[in-house]
Amino acid sequence: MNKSLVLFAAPAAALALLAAACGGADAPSARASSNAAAAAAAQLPPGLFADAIDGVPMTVVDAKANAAEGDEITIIGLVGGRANPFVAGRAMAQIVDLGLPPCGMASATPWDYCSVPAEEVARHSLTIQVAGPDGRPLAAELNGPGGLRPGQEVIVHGVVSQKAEGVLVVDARRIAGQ
Amino acid sequence: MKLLPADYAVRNLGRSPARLAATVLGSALVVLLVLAAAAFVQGMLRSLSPPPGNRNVVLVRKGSEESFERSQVSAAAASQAMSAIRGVREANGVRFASPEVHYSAVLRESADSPRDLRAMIRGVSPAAFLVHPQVEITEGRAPRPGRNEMMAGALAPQKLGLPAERLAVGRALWLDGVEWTIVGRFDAPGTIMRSEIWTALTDLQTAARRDTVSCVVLTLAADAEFADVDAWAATRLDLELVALAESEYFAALQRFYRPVRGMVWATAALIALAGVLGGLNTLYAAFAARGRELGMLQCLGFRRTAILLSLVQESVVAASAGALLAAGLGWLLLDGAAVRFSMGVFELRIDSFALLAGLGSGLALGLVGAIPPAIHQLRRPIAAALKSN
Repeated sequence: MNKSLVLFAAPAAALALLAAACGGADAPSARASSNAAAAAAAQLPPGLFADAIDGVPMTVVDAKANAAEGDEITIIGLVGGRANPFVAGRAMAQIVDLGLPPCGMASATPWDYCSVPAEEVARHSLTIQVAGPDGRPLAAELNGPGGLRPGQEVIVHGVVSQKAEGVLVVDARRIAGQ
Repeated sequence: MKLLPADYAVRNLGRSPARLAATVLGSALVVLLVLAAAAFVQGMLRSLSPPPGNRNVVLVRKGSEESFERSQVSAAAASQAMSAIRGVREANGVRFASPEVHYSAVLRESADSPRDLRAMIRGVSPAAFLVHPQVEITEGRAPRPGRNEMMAGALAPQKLGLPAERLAVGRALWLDGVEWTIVGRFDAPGTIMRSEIWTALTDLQTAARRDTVSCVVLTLAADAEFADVDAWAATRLDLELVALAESEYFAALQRFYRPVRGMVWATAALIALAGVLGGLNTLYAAFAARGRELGMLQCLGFRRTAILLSLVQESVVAASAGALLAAGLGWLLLDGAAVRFSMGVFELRIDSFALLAGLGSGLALGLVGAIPPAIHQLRRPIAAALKSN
């Protein structure tokens, strides 16, 4: 075979392989959906966020000790307990008793109570949710525009929907940020 | 513009076989280096990627999100997670919920062997094969509880630094002075599990002196969402569990190892740059030796641009030949080679991206390598070029 032809075939072959590689380049697996689309499917009820709530609120610890399922209660606490105290795609948040000291000012996320043992944080926490007619949390987020933020002090008025050893879930009807 | 014939360039390559060989080999080395770097990056990414369509959620103890080995989930919490969470996939009445222990342990080849073999051992129940469908038993069977049995992954020998036959079915390893029999081998292509050793969950709990598990792996039903599991964990604050989408966990691992991948590319780029500079040096000398020829071509009416294109063509042909040689060598020598790292073992992968990177760099080398010396040579006045030796 003509030497020139053989040599000239080299770049042609390289270009052909390159074209094939371009067509079939692998990509890493896609990350799981963040449920953001689901969050858009439901809206929080109008009037959920209030400027103020009347009455003397209970602490989280008091509520966990004394409230029963079905009770209408008002509690005061801090949105926190972990670095992201909200549930992505659901109208839920963790509220911590104000008596528990948050991390120092040097921490970027003092509301995660990093210096407190996890079981202490759990003992001083409850969960709030905005539930739909089926009792399940709405597919919306409480930390959207105009909503809550981590480390914010809040007063929540609602009904106790779940009460068990170490567990208290409040279906929030109104939330006032401080 | 009148161009030089295409075969003029390729015939010129044969004028100095030694120089041609040096150019081809130099190009091959640079391309092989880029291929190796790309294969390393692709292999690592592949092993740290969840399988397509992965719908697994992992529940771990709060605070252990970055290291499952440190997680301690109580048996009660695991049991509640496996039974109470809505939206877990089911088949024939069996929920796709797998309690697992992830245990970094030191194994030995014999009871009194002084050599430590660091292994990642996963204690599993039969449900593990439901939530990890990519795991396939290739030889023998799964370990049964109460018998101190093990099943070794396809890359477990490389992880332990042992020959493959040492982990054959019927052989044994020692954990804490107790003999464990290898009863099976498995593979899980494209996953880090290939370098693991699997045992029965209860046997590993006994050996590790724990009654907790590291995590519970759940597979979501088609109509369920990750938020359902996350909401359950947010409700059961007493259990101190955190829900992680397995895909997010692997994405975090990929981010963690990004500096390593960056360093590999930077090293390859620096060495490739050295190769390019060396090639430039060679071409400067090669074109300088053809000064009279280039001057004569201009006298014959060929413009500098046409001559430049011909010189670039020569360089591209030689570099392409080197790139193809490197691609073949890379495929034979590098593809499938095992690399140990902290998470386990992964295989180098000469896939389409690696070929793209390698061949692209070869073609670029041919293009870029010829232009500066060619321009330098062609800027000389014709009279001076004709007088050169």
